[in-house]
Amino acid sequence: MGLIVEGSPHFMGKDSTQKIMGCVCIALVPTVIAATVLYGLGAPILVLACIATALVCEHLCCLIQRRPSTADDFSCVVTAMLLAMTLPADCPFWIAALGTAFAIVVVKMLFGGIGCNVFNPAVAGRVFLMVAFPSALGSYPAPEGTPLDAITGATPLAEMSAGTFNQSYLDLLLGNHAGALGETCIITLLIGYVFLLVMKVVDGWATLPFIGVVALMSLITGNDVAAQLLSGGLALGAFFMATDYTTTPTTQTGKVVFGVGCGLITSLVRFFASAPEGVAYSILFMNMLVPLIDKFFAPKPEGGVKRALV
Amino acid sequence: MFSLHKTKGGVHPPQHKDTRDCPVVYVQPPKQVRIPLNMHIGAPCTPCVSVGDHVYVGTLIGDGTGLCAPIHASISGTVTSVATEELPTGQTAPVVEIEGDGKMEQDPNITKPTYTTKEEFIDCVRASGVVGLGGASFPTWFKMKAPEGKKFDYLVVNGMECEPFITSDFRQMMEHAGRVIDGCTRIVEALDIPSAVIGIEDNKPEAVELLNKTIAEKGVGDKVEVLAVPTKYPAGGEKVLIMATTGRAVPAGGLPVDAGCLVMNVTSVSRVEEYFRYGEPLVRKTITVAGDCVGKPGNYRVPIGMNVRDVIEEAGGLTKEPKKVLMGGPMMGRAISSLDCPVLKANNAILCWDDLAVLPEQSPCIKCGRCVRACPLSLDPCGLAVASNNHDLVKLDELGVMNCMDCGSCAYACPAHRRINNAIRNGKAFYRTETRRLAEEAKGGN
Repeated sequence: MGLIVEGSPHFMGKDSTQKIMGCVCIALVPTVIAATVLYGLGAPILVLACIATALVCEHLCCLIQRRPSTADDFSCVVTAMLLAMTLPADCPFWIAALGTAFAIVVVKMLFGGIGCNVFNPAVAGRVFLMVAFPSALGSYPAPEGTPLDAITGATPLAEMSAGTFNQSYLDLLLGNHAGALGETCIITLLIGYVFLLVMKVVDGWATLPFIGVVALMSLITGNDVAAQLLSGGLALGAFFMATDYTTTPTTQTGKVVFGVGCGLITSLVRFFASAPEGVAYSILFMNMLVPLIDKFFAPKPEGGVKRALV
Repeated sequence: MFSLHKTKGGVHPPQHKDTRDCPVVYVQPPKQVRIPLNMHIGAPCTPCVSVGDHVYVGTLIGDGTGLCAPIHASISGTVTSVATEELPTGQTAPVVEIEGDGKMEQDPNITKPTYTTKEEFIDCVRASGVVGLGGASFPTWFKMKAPEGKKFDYLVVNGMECEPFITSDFRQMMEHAGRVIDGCTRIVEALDIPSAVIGIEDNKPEAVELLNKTIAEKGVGDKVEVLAVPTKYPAGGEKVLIMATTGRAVPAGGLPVDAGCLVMNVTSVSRVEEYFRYGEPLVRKTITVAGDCVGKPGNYRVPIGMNVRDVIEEAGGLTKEPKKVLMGGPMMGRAISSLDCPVLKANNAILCWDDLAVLPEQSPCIKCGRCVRACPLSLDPCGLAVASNNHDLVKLDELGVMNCMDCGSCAYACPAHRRINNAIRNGKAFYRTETRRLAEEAKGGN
C-alpha cells in the first residue's frame, strides 16, 4: 500500500488560475455583446480573431520554450479580449492579430510567461499598434443606426479636446458614440467589474484611487468631471487593467499608490498633452514602477524581524 | 477584563467537524505499544528500563536533562525491545516496545503530588510528563519557568481548535469543563499569574457557554475568563491567539513570555489538573479518528504508543484503502508513510483520506498577492518562497524567514496551488544551517 507522503497543508482552496481567468473572460462578455449591438458583427469576430491568435501564440511559445503549455489557463484569452476591446471595430484582422502576437510573444512569453511579465500585455500590444499603425487606430467607427451610419466619427475625448463635444451623459454611459469596441459602453463594463468584485477576483484598491484622481484633476482643471469619467479607456483601464495581478502591486497600500499614479498620468496626458487619451500610457508607466512600489510598501512582519546578518 | 483584538490574514478552510458530538470512547488495551522517547521539543529521553523489565501504567521509562519531559509506560506488561528506530513520521528516535499483559495495572508507587512553592509546582508538572498537547509538544514545565526579569501577566488557554476535522479539545472541554477551570485556577495561583483567559473559536458556542457556567458555579470569575474568538484559521496559532486575546505581539525570535503570556492548550491544562488530582502521569491521549476511509469516526482515548493501525481497527476499521493518512489536522498535520506508526503525546487526530488525498498540481505564480493577505504574521510568503528556492540568505534574513510558523495559510490561499510553505520550510532549514556556519566561521576567525 503506497501512502502519499507530502508536506502540509493537505487542504487547498478551491480557486485556481483557470477559474480566475475564466471569471475575467465572463466579465467581459456583456461588453462584447454591447459592442455587437453598437458596432455590428465585426466586433465579436475581431474578438474571436484575437483569442485564436493568442491561443496559437501561447501554445507555440510554450512548445519552443519546452515547458508545459499554459494556453489552457485562459490568461492569454484575457489578454486577447482586453486587447480587442481597445481596437476600433473595423480594425483589419491582420493588424489585430499582429498586436495580439506582439502582446503574447514579446510582452508576455519572452519575459517568462504568466506571472513574469513586467507590462500588461494587452496595454503594451495596444500601444504597439498605435505606434505602428496610427492611421488604422486613429479613427473609430460610429455606432450603427446613428445618422453618421458607417461613417468614422471623432471620439468624445477628441471632441472635448477640440471643443466640439455635445453628447448627453446617457449616450456616454450606453456607449452610443464613436470609440474602441470595448471602451464605450460603461454600463456593461461596470456590470463586469461588479461581477469580478462579487467573485472576489478583484478589489477596488487600485481602481477607486485611479478614477478618483482623474475626477479630482478634472475638477481642478475645470473640465466636465462626468464626461471625463465616462469617456475614453478609463473604465476599461481602471476596472480590468489596473486590477491585473501580475503587473500591479501586491499590497493594498501599493495598489492605492499604483491607482493614484495611473490617475495622475492619465489626467496629465488628457489635459496637458497633445494626445486625447492617456490611460494606456499611465498603466504602462506605473507597471514599470511596480517592483519599486512593492519593495517600498512591503508588509511589516508582525513582531518585527530579528536579523542575523547585518 | 479581556476583550477581542483584531488579527491579520487567515483563511477559512471547510471545517468538517463531523465528530463533534461523538463522546470520547476508551479503546481496548492494545497487545503492544511502541513508545518513542522524542515526543517533545528538545533532547530525546534516555531509556531507564531494559528488555525484560516489568512495567505498570505510569512507570517511568525515559527521562533526561535540560529541555525534556519524562515519558511513562502506557500499558502494563514487559519491555521487549529498546532500540533506535526510524518512524513512519520520518523521525529517528529511541523506541521502547512493551508487550501488554492486558491487565492495565497502575504503578503502585503512584501517589498524589503535593507542592507548596512555585518551584515544587513546576517540578510536579515536569513529573507529569505533560507537553504542549495542541501539537507543538513543547515541555509544559519548561514554559512555566519565566526567565530572570520576565513575568507572566496572563495565562492564555488555547481552546480554539482551528484545524479542520479535529474535535478532541472540544470534547475535552465538554466532558471535563470542571477540570479545565480548576486547572486554570490552580496554575494561575501556583505561578502567581494575575488572570487567565480561555480562547475558544465561536463555532463552539456550547463550549463557551458550558465553561462560563462552570466558572460562575465555582466563583472564579475574577481569575478565569472565556473569550469567543471569530472562527478563522490559524486563530489557534500561539502568536495569533496572544494577539487576539491580549493585543500583544510576540517579538521576532522571542517566546510568548516576552509578551508576558503563558500559553497552554486546553487539554494540557486539563491533564495537568488530572495529574494533581489523581497522580497519573500523561499516558493516554484523546484522538479524533476521522476521514472517509474510517468505519466509525469519533473521539478515542488511546494509550500513547499504540499503533495507528490498531487505533483505526478500534474505530471501526478501514472501509476502503486510504491514499493518505495524516497525524494531526489537514493544515499542519504530518502525512505518514505507513500505518505502523505509534501515537505520540501531541497527536490529536488520525485522518484517513481517499477522496481528499490528491491535491491539485501546482502552476506558475500569478502574483495575485493572496498569500500576502492570508499570512497571519504579515510576512511576504511569495517573496520568502522565491528566496528559499534561490538559497538567497540575505533576502531570507531581510524578510524574516524564521518568523514563519508554517501554518500553511499561504498555500491554502494560492490559486496556483503552489506549496509555498513547503518552500519556506526548506528555506528555514537552509537559513538555520547557514547562519550557524557563518557564526562558527566568525568565531574561528577571531
